[in-house]
Amino acid sequence: MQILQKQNYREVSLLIVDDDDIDAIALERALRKLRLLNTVFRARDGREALELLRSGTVPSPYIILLDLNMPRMNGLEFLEVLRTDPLLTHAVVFVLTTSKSDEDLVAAYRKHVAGYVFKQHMDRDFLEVMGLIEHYWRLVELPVTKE
Amino acid sequence: MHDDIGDIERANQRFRQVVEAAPTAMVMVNKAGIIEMVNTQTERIFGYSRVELLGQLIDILLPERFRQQHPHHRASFFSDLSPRAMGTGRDLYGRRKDGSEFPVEVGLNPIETDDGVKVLSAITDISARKRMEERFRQVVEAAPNAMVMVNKAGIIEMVNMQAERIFGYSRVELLGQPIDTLLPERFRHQHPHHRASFFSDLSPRAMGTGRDLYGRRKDGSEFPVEVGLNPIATDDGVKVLSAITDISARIKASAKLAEHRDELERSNKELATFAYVASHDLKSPLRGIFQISHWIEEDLNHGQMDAIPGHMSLLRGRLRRMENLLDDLLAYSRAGRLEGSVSQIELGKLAQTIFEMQTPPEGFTLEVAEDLPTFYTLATPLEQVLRNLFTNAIKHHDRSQGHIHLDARLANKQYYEFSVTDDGPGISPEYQERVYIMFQTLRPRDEVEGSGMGLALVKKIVEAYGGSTNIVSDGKRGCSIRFTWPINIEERLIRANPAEAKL
Repeated sequence: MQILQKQNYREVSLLIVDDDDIDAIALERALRKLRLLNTVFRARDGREALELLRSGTVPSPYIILLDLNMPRMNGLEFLEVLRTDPLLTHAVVFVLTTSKSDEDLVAAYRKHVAGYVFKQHMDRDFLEVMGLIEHYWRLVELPVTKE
Repeated sequence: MHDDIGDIERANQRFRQVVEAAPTAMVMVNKAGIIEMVNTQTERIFGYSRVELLGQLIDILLPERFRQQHPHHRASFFSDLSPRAMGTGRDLYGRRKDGSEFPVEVGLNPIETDDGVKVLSAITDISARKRMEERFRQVVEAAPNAMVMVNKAGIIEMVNMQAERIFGYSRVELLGQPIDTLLPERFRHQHPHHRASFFSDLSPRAMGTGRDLYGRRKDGSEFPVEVGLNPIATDDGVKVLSAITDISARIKASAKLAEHRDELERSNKELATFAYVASHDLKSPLRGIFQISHWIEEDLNHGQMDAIPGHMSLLRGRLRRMENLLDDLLAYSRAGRLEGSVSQIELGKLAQTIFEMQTPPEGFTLEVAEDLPTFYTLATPLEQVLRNLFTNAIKHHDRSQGHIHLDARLANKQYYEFSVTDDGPGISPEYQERVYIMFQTLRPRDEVEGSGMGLALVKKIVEAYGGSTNIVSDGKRGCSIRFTWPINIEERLIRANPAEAKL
């Protein structure tokens, strides 16, 4: 677990689940460019993400940015656990992946992800994605769990 | 009186007409064997005219070689008068005027007359039937599979050459024997029951549908067969003609085919996995490099130099990672080839050399058991396996001091089992299957650099030589990775490359 940004006002937090440091840094840079100050949490695989969520470390409301290919517990396995956990099942998840496999795409939407995004055009994509996610949380009411 | 004579005369007349009209040759002889009456059929099939035959000894119609015994047979017939077939069980022949012979069937009937007892013989030329029988025999003989004819009692009455060949018996050894001779003993007790049920419902069919059938050779060995059963009506009652095919070659071929299919499925699966991971794991460092180059560019544009050295080293790290992935992928695709030269290795010494070549950090030691074997094997793949296991044990160790232990035992007659045991953090049982998948790491590569190919490679190599791998760890402390290795690897190589074996 790692807190990359401190926030001044109550906003949606982001949980990045990705084993690649470069992708994590890229997301951080994209946020900075967009002058967004959301609290960002980082997990390196599904197991770590579940620990952060279950321990209440990531405050509600939150959005999960999920990579698929990871050690120990991959993205699809994480979704499987997430959706069967009554306390976490409502979580909003965007998949950010290099996988263009149809099976992965269909499997992710079966687990009710909010969107499936290819990380393909590198830096550019992260700006667009973060822009999209910013609009998303400004327009869309997110579920809040009472602690 | 006159009238009586007329009646007798008329009866005689009628008798002559009946005989004359008979469709078979009829010959009447007296006790002395003299021909007293013949019909037109007799003239036709023997080629004599009536005048030439009347008053002659019946022997004139017999081949010379039978003439000597004939008076004896005739005498015995006259001593026990009853209608019957002549010479049961023997082949009978007639002799034409021109000296040629032909097979006959003869029915004998005693007839009481005023002159004493006579014999009326009905003689049928059975050449046509004999020819048919001979043709049947030839067809059976020429059949490409083994054919065996048995009677209702299960006694073998006819076999062909193929039957001799596949069962290893000669014809003489089989004729007159029970068919059970050709069955493995364990099936013999059911056979009479099966045979009876076939005879009760006669129709051509395959034997034992759904069951595996076996034949038994003279030497006691067994082989898988397919058997077709055909009922054949003969003069002696119904027989069964069985066509028996040795299907060992077919079964072997289909087993071979299944093996190839499995191999193909395995390699297809491997290829699919490869395509999938190649698009992820190989692309990921590339994307990283692309991204970092952007950041450096941005930082340069903004005149921010502080982050650049860090980014440069990150960039080189990704390049090295890419190179490692490609190297390990190549090693993986080449692994497990059944070729190479066999040499004698001392496992203990070999292991020490491999361990030292890893340049293990201070505090790490390898201890080898004293009873490690010295044997002939393919050194390169075994080295590859040990090197990967040692690298793993060192790389994933969570303490500054570590001990690795190499042990051996006999797994069975064909395999050693070697085990590499460390005192590191272990692999939790829930991940023990995952670690064998190519490119799978248990920790992010940014924490522990690794291709994730090590155990996939170990498994592939070990399985290529028919062995298996096994992880023993509670996930808390220590891990033992065990693998089996053929004691005689040469045998496997020869089997895989029969052409090279001659060299």
